[in-house]
Amino acid sequence: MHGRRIIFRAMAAGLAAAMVFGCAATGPIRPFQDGESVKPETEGEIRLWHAAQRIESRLKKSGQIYGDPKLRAYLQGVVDRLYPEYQGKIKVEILKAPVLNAFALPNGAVYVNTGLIAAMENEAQMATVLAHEGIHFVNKHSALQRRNYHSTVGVSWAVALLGIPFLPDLISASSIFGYSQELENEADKLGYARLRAAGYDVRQAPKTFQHLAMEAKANKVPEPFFFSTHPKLEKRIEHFEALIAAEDRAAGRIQSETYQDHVANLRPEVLKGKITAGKYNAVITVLTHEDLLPLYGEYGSFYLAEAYRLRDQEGDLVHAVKAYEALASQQPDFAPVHKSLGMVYLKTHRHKKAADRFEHYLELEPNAKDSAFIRQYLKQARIGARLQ
Amino acid sequence: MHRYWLGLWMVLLLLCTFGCATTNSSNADLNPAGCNTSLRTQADVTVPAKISILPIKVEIREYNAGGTTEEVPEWSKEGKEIVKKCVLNHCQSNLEVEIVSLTDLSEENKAVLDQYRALYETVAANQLYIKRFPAWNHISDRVMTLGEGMAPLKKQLGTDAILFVSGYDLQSSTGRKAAFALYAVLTGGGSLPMGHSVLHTGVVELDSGDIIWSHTNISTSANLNNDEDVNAMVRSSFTDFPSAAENNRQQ
Repeated sequence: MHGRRIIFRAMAAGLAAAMVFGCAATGPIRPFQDGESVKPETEGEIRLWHAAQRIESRLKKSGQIYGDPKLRAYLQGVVDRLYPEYQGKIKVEILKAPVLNAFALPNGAVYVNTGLIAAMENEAQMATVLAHEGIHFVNKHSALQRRNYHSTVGVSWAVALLGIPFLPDLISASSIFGYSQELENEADKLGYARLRAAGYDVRQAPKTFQHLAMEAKANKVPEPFFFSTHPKLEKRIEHFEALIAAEDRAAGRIQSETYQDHVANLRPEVLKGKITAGKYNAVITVLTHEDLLPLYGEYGSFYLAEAYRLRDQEGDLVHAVKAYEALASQQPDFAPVHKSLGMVYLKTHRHKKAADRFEHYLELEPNAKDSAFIRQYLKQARIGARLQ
Repeated sequence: MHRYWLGLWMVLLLLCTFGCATTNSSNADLNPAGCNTSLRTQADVTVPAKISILPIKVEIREYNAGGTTEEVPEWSKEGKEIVKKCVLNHCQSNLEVEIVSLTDLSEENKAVLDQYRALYETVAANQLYIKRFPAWNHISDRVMTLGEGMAPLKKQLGTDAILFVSGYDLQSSTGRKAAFALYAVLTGGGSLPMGHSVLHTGVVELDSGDIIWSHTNISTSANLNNDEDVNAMVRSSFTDFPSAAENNRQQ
């Protein structure tokens, strides 16, 4: 009787799997061969492309697209260099978001966050990200992931019928994430080959991940957004270093100055976004790195001081005042520094100094939006100074 | 125990026999009871004799076994055509109102109207709660409005009011149906959420943005890419439409 029940269950499970599993398309999903072949082939791909168009339409309406045509054209040029046979098929867009992230949609749109662009030192590092994302599109990773999901659901139901209640969830999770990691490894490997073929200095590739790891550590998250389902960053850096070690030619295109020319305006905006989002540790980590601070130009030391002031941990205000004072002596007409110094002095009960700074701010910016608030602080500082 | 497995076998065999494609289940005799909510805020409302109809929006998605949904562009396109045809036919044959299709909208006006459609859909969805739950009875007779932002379009459109029609349809895949049956057997009667369709129809006065009339029709059996189903839904949606004829009778 017991044996018969097992047979019954196994057959029912097999049927369930065949039914649910079998409903997913089973034909091969082949990578695109060139730009001419770029179009959705299967029903699943048609749906994915349609969903991608919807996402794009929503993103465009949301006002989140970073409107710098020159920067966009520059990044598009990098993609076209990496994927010359797909010109016009892989399109770069920039999203206004300080989070380090990039993603490729099934229709060939590659979205890169301003935060990620700002975190890169040069074109070669940015090209590492774009080469990786391009492989997701060219090798149809969305379609593969979709099929994997549908298949996993079928197996999970079949396992449930066999009477192992928690196994389906485990199978779903491990298979989806495992498969995703496989795809990510493929994107890394083939992206590296693209980087090399386009003449970039492949030694810059591991640095891309080092920047991401640094930011992740500062934000106290295990991995940055972009790599949340990716292989561990350390392993990834090791993998890239092994590839570079096997190279007979490592030097190549880096383009630090050209990159800096294009992203110089974006960097302070990203810093401001991070400060607004309360990511003080990330700002301090980046701006206390001696190689990175110069990339942020005159705004670097101001935002570093701002991050210290707002984080306000032990010793932070001392660092903040030091940076503000240095900046105020270099650029006495830069109004925000006087306002911030006034705030620090007011907070630390140095009322006379606070009043002086607020007065200076209002002289420089009499019609500032926050002038009413600053006048109130000035009044408070003057009262405090009289009482001292 | 034997019966349990026999039952399960039967269910599985039946589902296998009916194939893997998502199937349309037609139900022309929709029972609107409990599935319709209408908003008619002013008793003496006058619907203009000429109304513009905003391009109809229909989104049909497949509800998969794992609970995810995917839009099927072909079905949406088909559904849009069917809903448009049924609404226009119904209005021309049964209502004393002239419907003007908007064909040459500028991109700017399209963007404005898209925003108002989203706003209308939000109000229409919330109206379900307001009309169906006693806790909201005290505000159920209030005039709902989208604001005056569409007023500048009045001259351009050449009508006093606009008709919004939006449909959403979630159709269970065969995998989902199988999962439903399996879940019921495994849990002794438990159920999984299944597909349903929603049709919002509403007339908004362009000057004031007031919703003159609005109707939300929800069905668990109708598909928006099925002629018969849509006809029935449209018929039941417009049952309480305050047509000019009705206004004349009231006067």
